[in-house]
Order: sequence, then C-alpha cells, then structure tokens
Amino acid sequence: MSDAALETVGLGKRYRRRWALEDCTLLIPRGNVVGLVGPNGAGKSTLLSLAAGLIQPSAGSITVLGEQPGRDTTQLARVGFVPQDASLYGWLNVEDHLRLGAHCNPAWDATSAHERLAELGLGPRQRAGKLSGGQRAQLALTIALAKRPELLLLDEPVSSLDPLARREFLGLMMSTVAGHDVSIVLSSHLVSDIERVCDYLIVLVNSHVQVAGEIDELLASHHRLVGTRSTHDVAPANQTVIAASATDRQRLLVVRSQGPIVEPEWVIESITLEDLVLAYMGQGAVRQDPVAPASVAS
Amino acid sequence: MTWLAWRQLRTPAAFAALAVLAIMVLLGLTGPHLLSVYNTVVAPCAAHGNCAFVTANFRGIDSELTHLSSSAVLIAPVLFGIFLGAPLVARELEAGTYRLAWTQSVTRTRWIATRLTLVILVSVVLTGLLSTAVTWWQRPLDVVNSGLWGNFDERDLVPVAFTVFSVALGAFLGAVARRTLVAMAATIAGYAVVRYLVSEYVRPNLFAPLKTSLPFHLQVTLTGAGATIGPPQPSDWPVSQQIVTGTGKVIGGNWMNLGGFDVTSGGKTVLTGVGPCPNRIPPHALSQSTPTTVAALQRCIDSFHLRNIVSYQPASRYWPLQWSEAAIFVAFAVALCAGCLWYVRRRLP
Repeated sequence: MSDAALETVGLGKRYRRRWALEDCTLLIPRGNVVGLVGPNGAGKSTLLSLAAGLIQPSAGSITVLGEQPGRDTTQLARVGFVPQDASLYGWLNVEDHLRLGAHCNPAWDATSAHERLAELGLGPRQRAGKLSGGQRAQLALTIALAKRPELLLLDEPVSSLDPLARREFLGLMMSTVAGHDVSIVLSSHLVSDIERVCDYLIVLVNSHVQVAGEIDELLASHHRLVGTRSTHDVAPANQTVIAASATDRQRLLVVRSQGPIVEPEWVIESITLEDLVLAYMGQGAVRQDPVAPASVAS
Repeated sequence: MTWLAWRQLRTPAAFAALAVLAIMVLLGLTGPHLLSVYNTVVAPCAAHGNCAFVTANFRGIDSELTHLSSSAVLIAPVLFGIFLGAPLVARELEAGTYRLAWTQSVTRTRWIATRLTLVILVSVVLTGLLSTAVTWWQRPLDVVNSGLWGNFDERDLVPVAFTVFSVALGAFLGAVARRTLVAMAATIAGYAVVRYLVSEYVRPNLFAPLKTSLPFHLQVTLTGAGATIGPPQPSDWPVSQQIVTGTGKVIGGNWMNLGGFDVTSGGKTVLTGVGPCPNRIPPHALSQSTPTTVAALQRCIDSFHLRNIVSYQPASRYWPLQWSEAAIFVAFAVALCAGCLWYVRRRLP
C-alpha cells in the first residue's frame, strides 16, 4: 500500500486544444490537509476531478491512495468527493440523499450522518433544491464523510458561502475528521480559507503547478527582501527570485532560499502565506512557457 | 444502486402506468359490447352476403376509442424514448448530478446498466399491457377491416420491441448530445426514420415473398367497370401486384392503368396500354351504354386473358414476421445500450 494520498507524474488534461492542466507532478503524503489555491480557471477543478476519477488524463499518470482513480468499487469507496456547487438532486429531500448514500456505499455510516445533519439543523423533509448554499455544501460534505473515505476531495466547497458560514463549514469539517485517518485536498481561490485549516499548499496558476509543499517549510524557506531604490536585485546562487516589485522609494523581492541569507544591502523579513501565494500567482501569470514547475517539493 | 435508479424512475413510471391503466379500463368497459355486436350482428350477416351497411355501422360504434387506442400504441414507444430514455444520462450531465452519482461506491458500468435495465423493464411491461389490451379490443374490427396485416405495427409483439429500441436510442443520444431537449428531438427523428426504413424495405422482403398468378377478371357493367384484385386469401399480405396479359405484356401494378378505350377511325378500337381489340366495337359504344356495347367491350377485354401476378406474404408468416421484426429492433437496442455504456464509461463527462 502506498503512503501517498495523491501522486501524479507529468499529469495533463486537454479539452480540445486547451490544456486545463499540464505537466503536473506531485507527491502528497497521507495525513495532510492540502490547500489547492489558484485563480479561477487555473485547473483546480480539473485536478480534483482527475483524482476523483470523474475524468481521464490526457497525459501522464495519477494514482490516488496507490490506485488508479475510480477504477473499481473499492477505490471509489475510499475517496469522498464534494463537487463544486455541491451537486445534489434538487427534487430529492435531505433524507433521500442519505438513503442514496446508504444504498450506494457499503461502508456507509448512517448514525454519524444523521447526527451530523441533526446538529446542523437540516430537516430530513427539506428538498435539496430549497436549501441555502451553505446547507447544500454541508449536506454534500455529510454524504462524502459518511462513506468513511481515506481521502476527501473538496472542490471550492465554501466559494458560495458568506464569511461566517465559511468559518463554520471549515471548522465543522476539521472537527469531524479529527481523530480519523483521513487526508483532505481542498481547493479555494482564497488564501484565508487555506491558512485556517491546511498544512500543505499547492499553488496552481495557468494550468501549471507553481509550488507545492508543507506550509511550514514554505514559510521557512521564503523571504521578503526589502531594499532601497538603488539596490540591485541580483540574488545569490542559493536563492531564487519568485517576485520582484518596486515603488518610488523601495524595491521588494520574494525569494526562495535553501540556506541562510547574508545580504547586507537588503532587509530580510519573514513572509506571510498570502504574500507567498501572491508571489507565485504573479510569477505564473507572467511566465508564458515554463521550463519546469517552480518546485516539486517533498 | 437499484434504489436510486428506481427513485429516479418512480414518478414518470407512475404517470405512464396511470395513462396505460386508464386506457385499459376504457377498453375493458367497451370491449365486451364490441365483441358481442360482432358475434350477434356482423358475423351472421357476413355468412350470407352483402353487409356493407352493417360493417360500416360496426366500424363507427367506437370510432373515437379506436383512434385513441391505435394512436396510443403507435406513440407509446416514442413517449417512453423521449421521457425515460433521453433524460437518463443527459439530465445528470445538465444538472451536474453525475458528479454525485459517479463518486459513490458504484462503478459507472453498474450505474448505467442498472438504470437502463430498470427503465427498459418498466417500459416493456407498460407497452406490453397496452399492446395486449388494444390487440384484444380491436380484433373484431381487424376481421372486418383489413385482416391480420393492416395494423401489424400496433399489434402483439412489435410495439414492445419498438419501445425497447426507442428507450435505448434516447439514452444513447442523451449521452452523446449531453442535452435533454436535443436528445428528445433526435430520438423522435431517429425513431421515425428507422421505423420507416424497416417497415418499408425490410418487413416485406425479410422472407422472400411468395408469387402466384391469379386470373384477373375485369367486369364491364352498364355504369362502369369493376374488378377484384388482391392476394390469394383475404388474410394474406400482398407486397406487390402486376397485371399482365396472356402473352406476358406487363400492364402495371394498378388495374386503373388499363385506362380506357380509344376509338380510331375505321372502327378499330384500342384498349389503352394493352392493345387493339380483336372485335369491332360500334363507334357510339363509348357514349351509349347498351347491353350490346357492354358485351362488345367485355369481349375485347376477355380476349387479352389478363392475369394478376401477386407477390405476397401468407397469413402463416404473421407470427414469424412479428418475432423477426421484434428481434431486429431488440438487436438495435442492444447495440445502442452497448454504445451508451461505452460512452458513459469512456467519453463522459
């Protein structure tokens, strides 16, 4: 049994002439809560759909929990998927959705699913089509969790929710999975969602992975360098410049460094996750033809 | 999976069952009366001669219900195809619910196989009931009207096979088109085309038609001319007919092609499209119908020894043809189901 939750090698997905995801190589160990960030249309949904086995790769390979996604009943049972906009049968009520789950999943945990919905205050007779965005997301998550998956994939689960509902959703999700051996991959276009719950980060821009790694390591190895207007922005050999910007009075670099930085001309600051993500997003947006993903960490 | 498949089918299936039930009740209430009229009035009359008035009257007893039940059997397969077949996959793609359905612990193969099986099963049972009821109810009318073959499409087995085909066609087109409305329209068109081609070109020739040469007797009367043309037995199905002369000259498929008599100068008369009359016909014969002129015309016609060459399917082939055509449509359906399965597994979403 593989100890990788998700492993891809040169993975690509093409729709007609456009590559929705290209040359994606990742190795995500189990037990992580992975945040997948990037602007809309970057390929986040494509990567998650590939992992859920909903679509087939056009190039490269993908294994989920050591197996080809969606290959058979066993593999389908090990992965829970909460699709974007929480696709539910609008004409079925809440109770029927739980019955659907019970009839379609051998390891269905009916007790916890009912408890969860009772806590959320979702009436069993309410039609899914009449639920609010937050309630729909919660119902979809409940179904995915009741499968007792080893890997939970969530595609923009909170994008349609207001800030308070976002916080609640993510909080409930984390408390539900606490104590269970489940890995999570969660996509969002907001760093704040990721920052709250994730310990692993993937930045996806323009169909390419810009950076991937544990958030602690990423924060430790990236720095903000602030210099005066006249400072040269030439980085030493062990540093990679991710982003460079300048105002009238100062110059700003975001660098990735393998070792300690000794740069008397620059003021070295630690970086926030948001700045780190923005730096990579800017890099991905500018770079037309990347030679290789910025990093294939871990 | 069966639970979900049934839950999705339940409501439309209930509506269809209600409609079929309503028609069956109507037929059940009126059928015995129709049958008793046939047994007490029509059949005894037919035993001794001319019953034109009685049969016309009999046809009119329940003419509305006759039309209704005939239409119901004709369109039932299309309705099942567009309302149960076409949305089967297309609706899931449109609503995005395939992402929920296909990420449960059920493979897509089982998902589509279960759903197709259930939908086809329900459609088959309902069409079977409808066809049986209508076939039973219209049997006395069939005897009076056109015999076995006149409503081949609406009787016994074939409507059920049409339904299987229609539902499979709808499901396949729904998967390919990914739009319910487009799939519905394409299902209607595809169904109509295939049905037309099979009934027009396959059904008459599936078994090589029998051929026979019957004497063709055209009888001239004071008011016109009449002939009986048709298959050897009333219950046979004439596929094509040809009138020929005794010398083998082909006149055509319709005795109306015989046209009329042309009187040429010199008293010679020609039977249009056939040849000159051997006997002289008085010049005024065509404007004045007298027993003498009628006899002269009749002698001219008889001199050609006209015959009718009939290609026909005998009544004994009714059931073999029902089974064969049903098998053809079920085979189409199997191919379409396989295509649908392949499409859902490999090409979607």
